[in-house]
Amino acid sequence: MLARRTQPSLSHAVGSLAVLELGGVRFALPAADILEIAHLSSYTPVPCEDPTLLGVVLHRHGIVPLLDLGVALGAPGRRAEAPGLCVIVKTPLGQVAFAIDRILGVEVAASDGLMKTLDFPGGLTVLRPRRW
Amino acid sequence: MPLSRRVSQSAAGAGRIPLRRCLVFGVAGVEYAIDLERLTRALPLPAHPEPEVTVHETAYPLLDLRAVFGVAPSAAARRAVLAVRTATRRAALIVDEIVSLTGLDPVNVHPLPAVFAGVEREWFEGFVRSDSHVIIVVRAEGLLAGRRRDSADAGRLAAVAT
Repeated sequence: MLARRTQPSLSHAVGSLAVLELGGVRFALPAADILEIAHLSSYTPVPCEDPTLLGVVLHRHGIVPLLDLGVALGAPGRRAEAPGLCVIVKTPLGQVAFAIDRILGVEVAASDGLMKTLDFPGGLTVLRPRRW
Repeated sequence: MPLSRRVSQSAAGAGRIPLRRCLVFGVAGVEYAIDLERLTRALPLPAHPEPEVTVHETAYPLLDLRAVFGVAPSAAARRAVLAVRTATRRAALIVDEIVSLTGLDPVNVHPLPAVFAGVEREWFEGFVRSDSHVIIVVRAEGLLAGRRRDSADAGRLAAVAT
C-alpha cells in the first residue's frame, strides 16, 4: 500500500491586490475596494482633529474626504495644493481618497504573505506583503 | 457670474425649498458659509481691537477662527469681524475676509462624511459645491461653543494679540 503523500498546506488567496507606492513605501490594497485612481488637481483643507484627514476633494458628483497616508506609513505625506495621483476607495464609513506616487502593479497574494499594518479613518485597511 | 448666482443656480425658480441666505467668508484660503440670520453685524477688524466688540450695546467677545481651527496667524492687513449670535451664545468671529452673500439650496448641502468624527462635527454641518471648489457650511451654535482644535485659550489669546 502506498503511503499517502501529504500535501503542503496552501495559503488562502485573498484576491487581487493593487500595489502602490508613496514616499518610497510600498503597500497594497484589495483591488475590489478601489473605485478609481485619478489625478486630482486640488483639495479643500478642512480643519479637524485627526491629522491624517487633510480635507475634501471633488470627485465626479461627490465630495470625498482626503487622507494623508504618509505619516502612518512612515513616509512623507503630501500637503501640497494639488494632491496629484489619488486612489479613491470604499470603506465602511464611505468613500475616501488619498494621494500616492505611483501604481506598481496588481498581483494575487496569499493571506500568509500579508501583514495588516494600519487602520485609517473610515476603516481603510492597508496591507504590506511580507516579502517587501 | 457672481458666486451668489452660481451657488443658488440649481434652486432658481424651483420655489420648493427656501434658500438659506448665507454670508461666505474666508479663513486661510478656505471659504465658509454661515446663516445670515445668525449675523448681527459684519465690520472691518479695528486696528487696535479690544477683547470684545460692542454691537447695539451688547458685548461680543472676539474669537479668532484661525486660532480655533489651528491655522497659523495671518499677517494680512485687512481682516473682518462677524458679530454672530445664536439662542444661547454670541461672539465676534475674526475672519480673513468677507467673500459674498449667497443663497444655498439646502438640498445641495452634503452632510459631513462620517470619517470627520472630531470637534469638526460641532463646527461644521457639511459642504456645498460651487463650481470647482467647496464651501464649508458652519454650524454657528457649535462654533460659538468654544471648543478649539488646540489649546483652550488659543482663540482668545490670538484675538487679543491681533
